[in-house]
Amino acid sequence: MGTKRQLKSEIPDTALMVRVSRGDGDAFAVIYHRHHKRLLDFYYAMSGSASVSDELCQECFLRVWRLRDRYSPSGSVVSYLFTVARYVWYEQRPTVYRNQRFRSFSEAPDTVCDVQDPRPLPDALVARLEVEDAILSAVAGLTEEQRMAFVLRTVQGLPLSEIARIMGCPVNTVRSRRISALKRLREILHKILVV
Amino acid sequence: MRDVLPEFVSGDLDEVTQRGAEAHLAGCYRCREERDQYYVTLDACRKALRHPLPLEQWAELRSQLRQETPEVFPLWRRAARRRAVAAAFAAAAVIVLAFWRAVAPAPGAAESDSASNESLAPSGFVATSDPASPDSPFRRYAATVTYYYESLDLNAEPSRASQTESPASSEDKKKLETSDALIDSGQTGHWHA
Repeated sequence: MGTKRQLKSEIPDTALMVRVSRGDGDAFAVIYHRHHKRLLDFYYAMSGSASVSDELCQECFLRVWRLRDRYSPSGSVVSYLFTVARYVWYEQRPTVYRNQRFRSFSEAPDTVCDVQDPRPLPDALVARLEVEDAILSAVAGLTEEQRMAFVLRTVQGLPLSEIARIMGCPVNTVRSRRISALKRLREILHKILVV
Repeated sequence: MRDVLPEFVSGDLDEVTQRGAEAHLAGCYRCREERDQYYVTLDACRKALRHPLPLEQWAELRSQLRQETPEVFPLWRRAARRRAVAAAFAAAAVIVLAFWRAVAPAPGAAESDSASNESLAPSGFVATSDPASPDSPFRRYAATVTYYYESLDLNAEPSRASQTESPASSEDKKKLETSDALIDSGQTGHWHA
């Protein structure tokens, strides 16, 4: 059993996705275990909510399975997954915004600080949480296209050409969106971030 | 120069522009400071924009997939089913073995049991399994059956004497001796088998 899993872990993503397109559930499981964290990070950066990102990640993989017949091994599997993820994000965005406002300083975050503990938090932890909240708020202030280009390049580390393919726009557009996002974030955050 | 700093910190500049920017940064304090702010911003964003609890939710996803394509994501996979059947057989074997050990006597228990029977038996009684022994239950049974068939006289009319006649009479004793002789000579060997 372990050998089987080890063999599957050595199979490249494209070959696994070809198997998935033929209805191989085991290959789909390997794809999920390899890439679900990237999609969780993507949705967390886009929504600012851990619970929303969990739901959207599940929905994204469900969509990948449902659309398995349409997969063609033309690009990388990561860009294919993020293309589906972007599609799911735009589809679910109204529901996300309607059900939950974007996290801000005044709202209780749904991940770390919602545990009611009477003891005072250490200063370092408070400072870190404040910085994280400030970053999430600053990212939420970007336009969606800027945010997506920034997240895919900075957090996910994808090349500009792949981001252009995912977002369906020219590379220069991605570059300009990302530059605008980075400039805006530096203007907001450089006062609270210690150089 | 400030316009290319976001691309410079990301490494998206071409080689010529990158070298020119590095040359400028070496002599410009304000641009270096701004470059450092970009670096800090990027680093903080990379850390903060990660999911805080990236747990695997494959079980939930799989249950949803099973509703759509149960033939691909069955409740019991073939390997798991084989393992379950093997485990059931092993458990059954263990139960049978435990039951056998509890019911069947230990190998040395038979001798100890016969010894205890001898000690508990009344005087004159010898517990033995030897068919040739005079007090063997096989021999007694054979003698009784032989006597019974020999004493049957189907042509004779039943009389009170024959009905009340006890096997302890002298004639009966002769017949018993005869049957004993037959047994000893092996002609009723099937009783000893």
